[in-house]
Amino acid sequence: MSMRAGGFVREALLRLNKGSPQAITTGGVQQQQKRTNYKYVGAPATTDGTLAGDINAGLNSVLFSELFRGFGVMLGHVFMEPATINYPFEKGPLSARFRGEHALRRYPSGEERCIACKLCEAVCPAQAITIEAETRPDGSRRTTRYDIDMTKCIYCGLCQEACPVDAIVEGPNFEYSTETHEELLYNKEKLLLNGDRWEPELAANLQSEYLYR
Amino acid sequence: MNRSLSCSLRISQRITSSLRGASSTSVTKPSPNEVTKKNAKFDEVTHTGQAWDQSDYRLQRFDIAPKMVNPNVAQTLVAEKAPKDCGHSHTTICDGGHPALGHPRVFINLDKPGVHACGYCGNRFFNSHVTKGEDLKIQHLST
Repeated sequence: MSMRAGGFVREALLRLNKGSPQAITTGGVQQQQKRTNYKYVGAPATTDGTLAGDINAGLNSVLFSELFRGFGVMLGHVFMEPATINYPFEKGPLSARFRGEHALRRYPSGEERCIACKLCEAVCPAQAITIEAETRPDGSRRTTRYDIDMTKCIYCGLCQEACPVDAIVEGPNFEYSTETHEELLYNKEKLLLNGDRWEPELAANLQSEYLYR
Repeated sequence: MNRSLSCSLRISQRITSSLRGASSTSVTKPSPNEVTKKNAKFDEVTHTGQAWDQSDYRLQRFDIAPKMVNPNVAQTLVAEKAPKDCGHSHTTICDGGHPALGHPRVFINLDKPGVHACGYCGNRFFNSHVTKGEDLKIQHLST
């Protein structure tokens, strides 16, 4: 019904536009201005006004043709692949540059990559990283303390960009929610464990990206 | 008291006691003045050198979940790797195994007798012309 009404309104508007020029008064001088460029933005007309068009519109409303077209769309979607995934068991694709949980990597020999240069600590805009370094019994200078406050971290990735030896990286893991705040204050132990656990993925990501860094 | 409530209380007590039993600490810790240098038992040393004796009050944070200790200590792992014989060459290079994915390339002078370790990755090199027998025990670190 409303569609029919919309059609009538449009016809009336068009009739009005054709017939009556608008009178505008500016500074005592009356100007005649004809406005014909109106755009109709209401509901589209269901009929063109002819008898055949009226019959067609009537049949459409009596036989629920819109309803059946809607069912057709639904049937089409039944055979489509769903856009959703069964999340904890299926994971969506992740970029090789994804910045998730941090990890400290090692060389293939097992030596820690981090040489305690403190560039990541200096560059960290959230000041989430704390490093203390000391000479190890075998003479090499390494960190005695490497803490990241994961609740301060903003995951900007500046630490892994600053690292000259690819020691601190942000891996593809994003599922590490904890019950308490303290569990998110990562120390060197946890970061090295992350590195040991995720090394295949981390190495593959770096390998695929090294031409662009 | 409600019977089911008392039952559930007993169960929760049993769970907490079993959890305590599972961890290394006992329910009643010895007081700090009972612990001497002789009977002190320290827990596992972490990478940061942290180890507490059995009376340390800070151990209570590990009552529910055990202390996480990474057993792969880099120092021992890198010491296990055999040094590389570089023949008669005076210098060698080390880039950590890959020009882009390793570390910045460093040149290591091998003229002194002994084993020269890379300051980045700890790989060791020696010149077999000047390093013979006992000299292999001399450790140098090029930084």
